[in-house]
Amino acid sequence: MRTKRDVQPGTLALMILKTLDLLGPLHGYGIARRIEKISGDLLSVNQGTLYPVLLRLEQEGAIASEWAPSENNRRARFYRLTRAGHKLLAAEKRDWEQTAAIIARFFDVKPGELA
Amino acid sequence: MRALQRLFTRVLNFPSRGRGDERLREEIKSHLVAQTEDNIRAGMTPQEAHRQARLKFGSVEAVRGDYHAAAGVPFLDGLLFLPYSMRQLLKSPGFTITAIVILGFSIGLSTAIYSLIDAVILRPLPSPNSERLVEVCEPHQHHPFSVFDYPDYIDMAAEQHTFDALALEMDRTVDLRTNGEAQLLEAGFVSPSLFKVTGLPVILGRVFTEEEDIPNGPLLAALSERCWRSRFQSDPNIIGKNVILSDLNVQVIGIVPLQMDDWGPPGIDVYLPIHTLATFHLLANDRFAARSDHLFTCFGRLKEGVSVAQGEADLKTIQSNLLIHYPDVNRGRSLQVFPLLGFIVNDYAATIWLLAAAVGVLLIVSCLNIANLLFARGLYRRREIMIRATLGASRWQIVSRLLLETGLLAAIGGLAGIGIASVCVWGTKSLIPTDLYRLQELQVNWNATGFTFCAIIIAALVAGLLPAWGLSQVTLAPALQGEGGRTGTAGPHRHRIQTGLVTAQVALSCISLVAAGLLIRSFYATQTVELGFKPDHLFKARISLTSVKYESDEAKTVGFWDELLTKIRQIPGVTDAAINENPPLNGARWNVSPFIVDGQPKPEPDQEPVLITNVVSSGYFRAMQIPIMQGRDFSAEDTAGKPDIVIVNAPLAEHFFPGQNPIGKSIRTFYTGGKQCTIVGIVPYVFDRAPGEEEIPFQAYQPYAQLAPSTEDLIIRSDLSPAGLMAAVRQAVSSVDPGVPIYDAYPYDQMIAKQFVTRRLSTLLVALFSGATLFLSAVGLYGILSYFVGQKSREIGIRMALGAQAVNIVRLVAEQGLRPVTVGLMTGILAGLLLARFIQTLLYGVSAYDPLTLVLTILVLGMVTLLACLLPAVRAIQINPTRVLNE
Repeated sequence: MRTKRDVQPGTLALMILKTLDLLGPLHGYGIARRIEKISGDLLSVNQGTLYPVLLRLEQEGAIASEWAPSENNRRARFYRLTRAGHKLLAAEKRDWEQTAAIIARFFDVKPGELA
Repeated sequence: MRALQRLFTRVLNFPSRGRGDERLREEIKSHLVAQTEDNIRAGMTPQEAHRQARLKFGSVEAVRGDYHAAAGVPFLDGLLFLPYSMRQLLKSPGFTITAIVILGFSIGLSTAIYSLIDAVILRPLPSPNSERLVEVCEPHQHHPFSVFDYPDYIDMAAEQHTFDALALEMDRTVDLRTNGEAQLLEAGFVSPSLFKVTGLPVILGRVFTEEEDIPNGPLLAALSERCWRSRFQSDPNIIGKNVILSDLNVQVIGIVPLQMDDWGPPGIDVYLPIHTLATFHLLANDRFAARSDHLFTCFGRLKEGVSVAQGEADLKTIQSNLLIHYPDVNRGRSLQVFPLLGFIVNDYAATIWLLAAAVGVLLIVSCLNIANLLFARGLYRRREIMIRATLGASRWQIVSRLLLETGLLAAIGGLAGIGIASVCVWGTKSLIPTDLYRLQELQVNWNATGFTFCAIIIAALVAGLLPAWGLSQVTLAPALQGEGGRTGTAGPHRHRIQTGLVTAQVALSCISLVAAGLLIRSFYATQTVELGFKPDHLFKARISLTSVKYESDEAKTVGFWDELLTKIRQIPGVTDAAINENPPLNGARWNVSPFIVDGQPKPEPDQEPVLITNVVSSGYFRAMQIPIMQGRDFSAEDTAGKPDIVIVNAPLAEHFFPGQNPIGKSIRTFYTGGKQCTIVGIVPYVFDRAPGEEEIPFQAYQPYAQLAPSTEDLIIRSDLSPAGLMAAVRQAVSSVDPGVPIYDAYPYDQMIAKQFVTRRLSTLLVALFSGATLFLSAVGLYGILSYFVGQKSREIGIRMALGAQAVNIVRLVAEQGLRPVTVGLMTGILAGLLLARFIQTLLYGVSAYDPLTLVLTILVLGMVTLLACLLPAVRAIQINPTRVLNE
């Protein structure tokens, strides 16, 4: 059986931003489902932990929210990326890619190359 | 930047946090519903679907906690625990009430007294750049604040270069005649430069000029705003009109601002050119030229940037030049420049600063006491604090909870304090005589409230939080086992802090008690002083012949007094009636005159002895019940034209004619222009001046018929009621001359009481404050000993079980209390002795090192502290050993 992994701190916010960037306005449940889907169920998100992160992002002005009817006509709160959010996402993406690239290079190193 | 934005949003969130919670609940609900629906679609039963949805979501409470932590501001969140803090305080009403009473009283009293100091002493005079206003004196022996003569002023005004202006003033009374009725006005005869010194613009019209202030110049008047409003109904058409002042037609040319009245009481109603003193027959024209006549008060406004010392040096140079030209008249005089405000408040500054010191001590003791109280409470609650710390409360959470509680106490105490301050201010205004300078402007001072509040709160916070801070990091085991009450030995460190606080309190209350004791002894001395006359059933009323017809005609003046006395003696119920220009204890200080004794070596000029002058009618000694020791009283035969005579008091006779018969010897007083007066009688010393003022032992009495004074006090001994007598006197006066005003009429004891009222009040207040200080210290001592007994109850129980006697237990407890008391008492007495000389000027008839006061202080303090020690000691011997040991 595949073991599910915990979300690394800080990455949840990045995932939320990227999800909203890809799919446009979504409610909390929608975001949680997408993140699970995209990670191929490899990641277990305690769905509730999403909400404090959403609030923080909203306070920072990266996302905005409003009540609207959902696909099956229930009231839900929809989150969307703001312009600041787009910028933030771009910056975080750059950071992340940089970090990933550095780490990748470390793993690619073979003993002979360091001599 | 983002952090700042978040903080901003969080603060904005605070008022709507309830709604935030609702938003989250709704969101969670919609999330769970959506998840449940999906689960059902996937084939679960509704029940299972809901359960799985909740499992997947995780702990709702944990999410809410995180959510709110992100939403709010930590400090503001604390406010939500206000009801909890309130409950905590209500749970121990004894502690709460004590704390609020201490806070309220110390904040209230300190604020009230500081407000008094600020209103009376610190606030600047209502004039632009008022710090440049000064009063100039030419002091000489017996007259430290001696005033100016006119020629000196003219010379100095012309030659000085450090003042914007110098000005002269002389206060006299005039009467204002309207519809045949006379009202008395305070007239300021001033040099025109006075208005330049004050520096305030006129309200209406103009003021008189230097060109108009000349001998026999025009009669022009500037009314004070207050007089204009009260007596002329603010009539703007008054400018240019004539009013009748003391039978003279005077033209009103301007209205000057109210603030000019502030130059010391009584306030001036009307300003007149100084040279019109001659026109009013108040001063002969030639006296403006006499360098020996020091009659005028001199004010000045320093140039910008010039210090008082520089101004004084400038004028001193001019004065020493004058001394070369006029060696006789100016010898022995120096010159002194005083800041005007300091000069005006000089009389009561010492009293008010003493009150300030008393309240300062009270404030410090309150701080120490509140500190002790909260410190003890912090220790008392350590078990609770430790449990909370162990259960995971953060240090900040624990401390903020205590902070909130202290804050709540402080808020209630502060409110009580503001209330008490308002009551005190109101009470002070109605208790203190109204002629205390600027008193009516007194109001609660918010700076003072803020200051005392902060002082006490800081003390409270430090004391209340120290134990909590120390304890909140301690872990469970020792907290619950050791400190909880089993072994019961408090750390020596804490004990030292509390004992130190109590020692300081005892020392401070000791100082305060010494001061109060000395003042009470002084007050008692003033109340039991031998007056030398009997003020009961005595009545006085002042009468001024301000009209020019009297001022210009001595025979007419004497005739008026003759006729008036005859009429008053005929009033049924009047035993005796007489007049005296300056009866004893009337508050006047000007009736001092140098004199020389015929046939004895002449002293150096300005080194002559001085005496207090009285101008009286026959029957004065009978009315006052002053016995004539030798010789005779005045009689109707002693009139102008007959040989000049004088009655002197026994100290004068004994000092200058020891072992001789003084009757028939003669003296010359400057007051009567150096006329030779033969002594015809000897009377005892009469207590003339308020205690604490310079005592002048020599007194002389001269008959009014030979001096024709224009102002006299009627002295009447009668069994009539004051109101009935007053009506009869008014009738008698108006039957002689309806235009003559009567004023300052009251029973004699009432006038005497007026001389004591400031002393009575300050004594009362200082006694009150030191009493409060003592009480607080006793409470503090009681508190620490009770705490000690509570803590040692187990040890005491064991001792008793092992057979200790009650005496031993009492000694154990009392020793604990007596150590700080002894140390505090000794420190306090030493400090009191060192500080007492600062209040020397306020004492009367008692030395600053009065042994009786010291002994009484030790006794009172000892008894009160002993009581505070014994109460907990008695509680200690009532401890039930079996119960304590089983606990």
